[in-house]
Amino acid sequence: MVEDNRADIFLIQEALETAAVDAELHIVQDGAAAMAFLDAAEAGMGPCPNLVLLDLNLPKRSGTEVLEYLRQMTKCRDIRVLIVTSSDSEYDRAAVRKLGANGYFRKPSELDEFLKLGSVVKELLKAE
Amino acid sequence: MKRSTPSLSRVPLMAMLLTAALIAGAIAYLSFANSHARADAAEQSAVSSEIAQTTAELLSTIKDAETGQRGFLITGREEYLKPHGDAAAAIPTILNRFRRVTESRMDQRARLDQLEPVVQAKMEELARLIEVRRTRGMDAARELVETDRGKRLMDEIRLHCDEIRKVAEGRLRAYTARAEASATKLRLVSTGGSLLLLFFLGVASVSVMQGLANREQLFRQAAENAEHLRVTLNSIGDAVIATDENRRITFINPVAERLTGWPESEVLGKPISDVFRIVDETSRETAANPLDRAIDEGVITGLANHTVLIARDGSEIPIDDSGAPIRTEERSIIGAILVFRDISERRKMELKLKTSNEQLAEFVDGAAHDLKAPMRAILLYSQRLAAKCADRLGDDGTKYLDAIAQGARRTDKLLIALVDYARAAQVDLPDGHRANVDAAVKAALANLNTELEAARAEVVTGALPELPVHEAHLVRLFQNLVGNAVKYRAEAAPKIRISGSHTDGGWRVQVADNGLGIDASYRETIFQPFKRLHGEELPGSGIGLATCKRIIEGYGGKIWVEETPGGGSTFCFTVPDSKKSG
Repeated sequence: MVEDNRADIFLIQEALETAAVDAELHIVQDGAAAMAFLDAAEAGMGPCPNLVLLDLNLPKRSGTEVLEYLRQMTKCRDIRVLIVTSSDSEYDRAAVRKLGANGYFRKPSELDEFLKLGSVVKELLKAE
Repeated sequence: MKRSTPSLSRVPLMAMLLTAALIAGAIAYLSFANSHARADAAEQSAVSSEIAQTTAELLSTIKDAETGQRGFLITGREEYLKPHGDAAAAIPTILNRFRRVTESRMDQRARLDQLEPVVQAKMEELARLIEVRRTRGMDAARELVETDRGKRLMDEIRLHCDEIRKVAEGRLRAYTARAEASATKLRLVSTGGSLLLLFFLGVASVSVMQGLANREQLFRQAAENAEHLRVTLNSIGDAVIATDENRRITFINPVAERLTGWPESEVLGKPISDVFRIVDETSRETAANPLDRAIDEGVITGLANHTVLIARDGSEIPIDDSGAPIRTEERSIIGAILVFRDISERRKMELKLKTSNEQLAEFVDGAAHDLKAPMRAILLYSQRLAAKCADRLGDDGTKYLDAIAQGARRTDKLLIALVDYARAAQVDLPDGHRANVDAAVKAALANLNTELEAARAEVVTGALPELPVHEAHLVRLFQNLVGNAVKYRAEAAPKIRISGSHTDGGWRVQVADNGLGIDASYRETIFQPFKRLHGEELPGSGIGLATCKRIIEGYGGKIWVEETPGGGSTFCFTVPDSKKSG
């Protein structure tokens, strides 16, 4: 999970727990850290994720940049990416679709809606 | 200005001049005729008086001769015969003179011809008696005298002379009277004619003075008009250049001198193309001079945008310009006038305003976006808290938490609307882009599905065009307009009709509902941000219509609301065919 907002980190964790997603969760809090994490995986020096939950509005490097970087890698380029963002802009949706995002989850303001994130993640992991 | 005509018309004036000439001619003729008549009368009078005189002299001479003869007859003394001899010698001379004098008088000559033999006879009779007295004595002479022949001859002579004298005197009177009559006529004509001429002279003088005064006033008026026009044109804040029909400059005002960099003294008579050089701001190609169209086609060309004037020193000034033909009263074109103004300040302001608007929109967008995350956290965590810890919160605690969530929810919606508003004006459309209005309406209706079903609303769409607008903007527009139609519905189920038509220069789309309607006094304010007509009972952000207005105006269109016939509101907006630049 690449997410800088602590409140969202907790909620996403709760959503995953609620849906009983069975996965090891690594959390980085900015775009640059996400790229470093991926570099390590590419080099075989760190864990390689099955799925990246990627926020777009991030410190240092944006989510779009991280996605673009990821899709240019050799080993890691097929990792599935779910965009989890508060942006509802058509521009953002189109941009990440073009870069090969596997899903787009807009952070809702209603709790019930938010908790549905868990099942979305579960589906994506299952499709592997 | 209206041309004033001289107050005296020409026709009577000409008639007067003609009459004056006739009078002068008449006076000249009459005075000539008069002098002629006078000379004639004088000559004739002289002849007549000479005839009369000669007659008298003849008679007196004959009498002298008779007296002398009588003395001799009585006395027989020779010395008495002297008067007779003198008279007898004088008579032929007198008769000769008589003949000469009567040369031009046929009647008098005829009388003379009758008189002459009688005189001859008388003189012979006198001579015969003298001879008889001298040779045969007194008694023989008396016998002869007593025959009365001498007396009869003398009576006859007297008779003839009287007639000649009477005729001559009558002639003299007649000629004098004729000369007098002619003089009277001349006096009358010259006095009357002079008076009439004097009157005409007076009238002519008045008319000439009036004409001069008129002319002077016209000159003064013309000079005043020219000066007034010059001052007016010089006072205009815009630059003004006028040319003749050959496009040569006839006038330039100070503003035009300043903008073009050419002083009046150097441009008068120069071709306009030397002084007024304009290019298109972007293409840099020579722009059409509105003056050419004014002269060639006789039309007034409006202000063209994005034209740059190249001044004499090469500096460039953005201008608005316009040209109009100068016509005579007979409508023929005798030149053109060019009006232009420096718009660099306005262009700067426009650019500044645009930049600051964009910055403000960016700021609002960013701020709203950043506020959304913490607001969402408040909302989500208050819900989480309510769900997980309800037993420990108690009724009051749950109520407070619910109030927190409500506030956060409203703020969240407001922030979404604010972001929409900020993004509404960001028009950056690729050339030739068209969005299908029908598709946008469908997308908007899908987003409003829940509300539409709940209100059992019916939406009817007519034929809808493709517009040069971002599709997202169209969706937002219809979502706001249809959403409002449903939200502010009357008691009856909402009926919404969406239609479009092409009008002069663009498209017009309208969304008509049968809802509550909007009081005429609010039809302007509802398009301003945060202006709402309803309270808590019908919650709304107060930004929806402001967003619509911002979107439409970003494309150069207009949005307004009318009353739907039969009740409700009809929101109309226009989008021009091609996007206006600037």
